[in-house]
Amino acid sequence: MGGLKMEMPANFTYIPGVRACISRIAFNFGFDDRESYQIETIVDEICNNAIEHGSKKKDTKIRLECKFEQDQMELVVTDTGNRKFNVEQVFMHNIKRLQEEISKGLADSPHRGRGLIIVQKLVDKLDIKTTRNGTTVKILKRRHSDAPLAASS
Amino acid sequence: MTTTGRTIKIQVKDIPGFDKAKLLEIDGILDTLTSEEADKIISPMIEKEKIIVADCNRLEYMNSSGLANLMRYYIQMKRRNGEFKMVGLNKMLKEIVDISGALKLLEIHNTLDEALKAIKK
Repeated sequence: MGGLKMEMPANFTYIPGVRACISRIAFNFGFDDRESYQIETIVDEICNNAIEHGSKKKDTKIRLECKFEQDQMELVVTDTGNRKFNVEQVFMHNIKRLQEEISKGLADSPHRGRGLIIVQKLVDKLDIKTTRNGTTVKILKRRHSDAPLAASS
Repeated sequence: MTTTGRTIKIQVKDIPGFDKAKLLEIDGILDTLTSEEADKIISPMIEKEKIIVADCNRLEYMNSSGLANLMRYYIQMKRRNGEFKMVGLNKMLKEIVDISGALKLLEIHNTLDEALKAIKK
């Protein structure tokens, strides 16, 4: 995939800078304030997830590839993986649990695991694949605002 | 709008006319890096106050880690028959809270006055 490629250590301290960088680029490609904020959230949650569940070992890296074209952004985040933790399955479990929480009105405990659920609601397409080599989260976010493009790919 | 800073400031104030009540003015970012710092200030209050109102007018950004902590405070206060309310969330933050499903669990008001009126003295 062409576009922006980044690799960062699996360290939470890098995330605020990375999420702000991609959000700013999105804004320059015509995503409005609200959409750029959503993109910041999307990058944040996917990277947090990748570090928390995917990269426990020292010196592991998180790879990000981000491509803007026409009215959409495609983002792929890959971690090198904890092979025993299937993000895809956990995501499905969390969705079911959240639905139960809402139907009961109050959770017994404030479960974490809402990150990818938030991402799912903010994107047009979400694809999660866990393999022996790690997890890849791929999203597509369309630009719905009418703001003119400040840059072209 | 981007949020690069690693800062959270929380000012704690009494709420006039209410016993064992604190207003928390949250200023900055509530994310994976800052939630722990915020928790050191907020958690002890959850154990001893009856009413806590989190003023989020100057909260710029919050992710699911920050949200999970706020939900924990709410649930802990409810278990003690206390009140945990949030006020002044901007539109974008409210949207994030809403899509996470937490809007139906938390007590969110537009203004401090509105929140205080909803508290049973």
